[in-house]
Amino acid sequence: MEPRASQTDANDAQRPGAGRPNPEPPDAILVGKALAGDRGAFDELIRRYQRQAVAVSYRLLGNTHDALEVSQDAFLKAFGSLATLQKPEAFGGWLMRIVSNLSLNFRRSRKTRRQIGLDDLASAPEAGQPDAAGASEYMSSAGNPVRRLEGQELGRKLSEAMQQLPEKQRLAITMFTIEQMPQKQVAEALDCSVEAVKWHVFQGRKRLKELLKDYM
Amino acid sequence: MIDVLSIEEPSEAVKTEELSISIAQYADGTLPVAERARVEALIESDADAQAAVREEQALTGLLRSDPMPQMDWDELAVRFSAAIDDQMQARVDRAGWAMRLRSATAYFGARGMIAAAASFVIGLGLATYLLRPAPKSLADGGLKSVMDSPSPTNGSSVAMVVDGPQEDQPLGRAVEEIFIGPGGSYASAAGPSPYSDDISARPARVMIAADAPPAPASIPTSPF
Repeated sequence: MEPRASQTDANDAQRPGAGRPNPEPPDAILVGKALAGDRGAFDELIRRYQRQAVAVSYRLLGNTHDALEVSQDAFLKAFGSLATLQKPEAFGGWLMRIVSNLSLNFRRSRKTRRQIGLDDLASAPEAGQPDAAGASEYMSSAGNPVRRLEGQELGRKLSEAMQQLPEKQRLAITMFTIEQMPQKQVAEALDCSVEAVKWHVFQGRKRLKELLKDYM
Repeated sequence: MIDVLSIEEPSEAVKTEELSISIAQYADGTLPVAERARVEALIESDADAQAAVREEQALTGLLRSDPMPQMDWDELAVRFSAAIDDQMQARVDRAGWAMRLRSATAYFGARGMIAAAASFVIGLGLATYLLRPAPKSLADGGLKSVMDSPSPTNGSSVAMVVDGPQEDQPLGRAVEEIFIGPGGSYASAAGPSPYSDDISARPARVMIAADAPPAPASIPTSPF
């Protein structure tokens, strides 16, 4: 009965741009360089956080095209308002706050999907792809068809269960439990304390255990 | 003095909740190190605690079982970066005029720019005044239309048709008042004749017809 291998500190060490053992510059340095006009520095931040941004958006929207669009908007917004970031070392959490806000706004406004030039990244949906609304040519399509169908059904149930959670719980579980972001970064993204993040995660999980008991 | 006996022990529900939180934190690896030994000891000795840990781990596994679509992240980063470049270019283009204005201000000075702006406004006002549409007058508008109008009577000529002001086309007053009364010395009297009928309600069109030769080129005089 082993717990998850990483403890909080170790988890934080895995965080992009924070306390990594390799020589990559921390986020604060890159933010400073970007503010000084170094576009390459912001490109590095994009590379560092794009997966997280797309993942969080995808979990909230359930659609790759929308997730890509929202992620792009989030990076544009982040770049445009980088000077307003008060704690450059908290870039990751700040970006995730932008991503989650844009994703939730996107859902609320029931915005018609626009073609923004990212569509040429996407090919026609293939059967069994994780998102039925559209698949990117960058998405892998490998896997057993039966298992993929089961996965689709399970994914739908998971999505339905997640939708029943209050917004903060859904975001906390998405960022912390699923995407394994450090609690501190989740707290920055949700604009709350680490203790509040723990509470949201606990309450959300409690509700999910009830909703998904048939699948556990 | 605090009555020690009045301090209640935490209820079973609270204890269970606290334990659930500790087990959940143990399962996701966020339990503080100081509490780990206590919780691990409990888990080893308590079957329910073991079941709770398994449940937490199963839920975590389930939540992570919905995979994130795989993408070519390098290519995506290039796209995101290009979008930012496009945005920056658009801003530069928008800022172009502002920069030119600032440059001109620096070159001519603030007074010069104010003078230029004032000249522009004056010129614009002058042009608007000079190029405004001329109001229709009897001579060049109403009367011409009179001359070209067909006769409402059989073969006889129309002497004059005067278009009155239209409700939707306030181009000026064609006829302000029409005084109808005796001519002669009465007509030459100063001011409106006491015998005149003041037509205060302006008709949209007044037609004055008479059996007369075709209308002269000049403005016809009143028959009175």
